[in-house]
Formats: sequence, structure tokens, C-alpha cells
Amino acid sequence: MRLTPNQQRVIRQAALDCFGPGAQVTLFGSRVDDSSRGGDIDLLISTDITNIEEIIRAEIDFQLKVQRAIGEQKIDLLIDYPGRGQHPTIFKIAERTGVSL
Amino acid sequence: MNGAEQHRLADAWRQCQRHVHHMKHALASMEGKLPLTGQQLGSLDDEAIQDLDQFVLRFGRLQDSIGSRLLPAILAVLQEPYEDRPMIDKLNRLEKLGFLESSEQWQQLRAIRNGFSHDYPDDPDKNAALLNLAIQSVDDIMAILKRIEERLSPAALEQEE
Repeated sequence: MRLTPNQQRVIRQAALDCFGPGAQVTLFGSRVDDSSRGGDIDLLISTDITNIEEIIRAEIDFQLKVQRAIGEQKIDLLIDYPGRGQHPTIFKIAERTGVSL
Repeated sequence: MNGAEQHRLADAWRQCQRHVHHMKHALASMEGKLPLTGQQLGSLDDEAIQDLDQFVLRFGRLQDSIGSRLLPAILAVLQEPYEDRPMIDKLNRLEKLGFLESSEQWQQLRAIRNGFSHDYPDDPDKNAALLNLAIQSVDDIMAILKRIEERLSPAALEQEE
């Protein structure tokens, strides 16, 4: 995995702060691959929050918190929440290939 | 005061006002359809989609113009040596000088804008919620512009092209 221990800690903590104590974070995509370089940070976050407006705000808070702690990074978030209508294939890929943080 | 810097400020201000005009026009066309729901998003006609796209485009461009042109131009006119400093330093300085109410708020607005560049096949409910949040935040952007307008002399913003 190509995230420093500090980056992992920051991401985990920010997810708990923004998406609630039940939040789970999975890293997937190119950052899982040790032989790759650079690239976006792709995260799957599952949360117990059901209100969609709250989820959007949590996403924005999360981006800001992480950015403040580890500098500007392009982070793509995939959010799983109770009541989410569709689960595009990317969810399956994230679950299958991802690493839990 | 340097003339070129004054001109850059007046240009940036004019550009922002143009984006404001088109952004508000798009918003006015969407009146009656707000707040949006995911279900609604899926059944909008071409006209309404165009209005939404126009809103998103101008909302983003307005922020770009404020962030990359207007704010730096203000610092330049005030002869603040921040040209090569990171954005966060510029924001904090502008907050201190009273031109921005909160650099934190500005970063939140940027984060909302960045939400639109998300390239996952996302769910419509979330897209609708993000659009609603962006639409709500228009008042915050307008307040930022108003604050700047109040602190700069009308002459500073209305230079000849």
C-alpha cells in the first residue's frame, strides 16, 4: 500500500470524525499497488448516516480535514450508506481488491 | 498605486460579475424545481439540464475567478507581498485584513465545487444533494463579493477597460 502510516492515521481519524464512529474505510485503486506510482487516493467509506445532505457535508468536511493534515491530494470518495439505491460495479471492485484502513 | 495592478483588479471584478449574472440567470430558470431530488434529476427535460449545467459551470468559474484573479489582485493593489505565497497564506492574510470573513468558509466553498468533478457513476440522490448544497452556498459567495465591494472604493472596481 502506498500511503504512509501518518496518512493512514489521518484518513482513518477523519473518517471517524466526519462519518461517525461506525465508519469503515477501504483503500482501493492504484494506491493499493506497491509497484505503481502517484495517482489519486480512492477510498470506499461506509457510514451509518442515512441523511443524504449530512453525507455530502461529511464528505466536504472529510476532504478539508485530510487536506489540512497531509496537504492537497486528490481523493475520490465512494460512500456506502444505508438506503443507497444503486451500487455500481465499482463497489464490488473496491470490496474485492481494497485494503481496510 | 500601480496602474497595472488597478486594472487587473477591475478586470477580475468585471469577470466575477459576468459569472454572477449567468449563474443567477440559470438559478432563476430553475425556480420552482428546487430543492432537487434524485428522482427529479433523472426526469429533467433538456432545457432544465442545460440550466443546471450552466449553473454548475458558472458556480465553478466564479470561484475560479475569485480565487485565482480577484483575491490575488486585491493583495497586489494593497501592495501586500503575497504573490508567490501559497493560497492558504493569501486567504489567511485576506481574512486578517477583513476582506474575507473566514478563510475556512472559502475552503468549504472550494470543496463543494470540487465535488462536481467527481467522476464515479454516482447515485442521483447524492448528486441532487450536492447541487442543493451548492445552490444554498450561492448566498455565501455573494456575501464574499459584497464584503470586498464594501472595502474597496467604487473607483477601484470600475476602471475603464
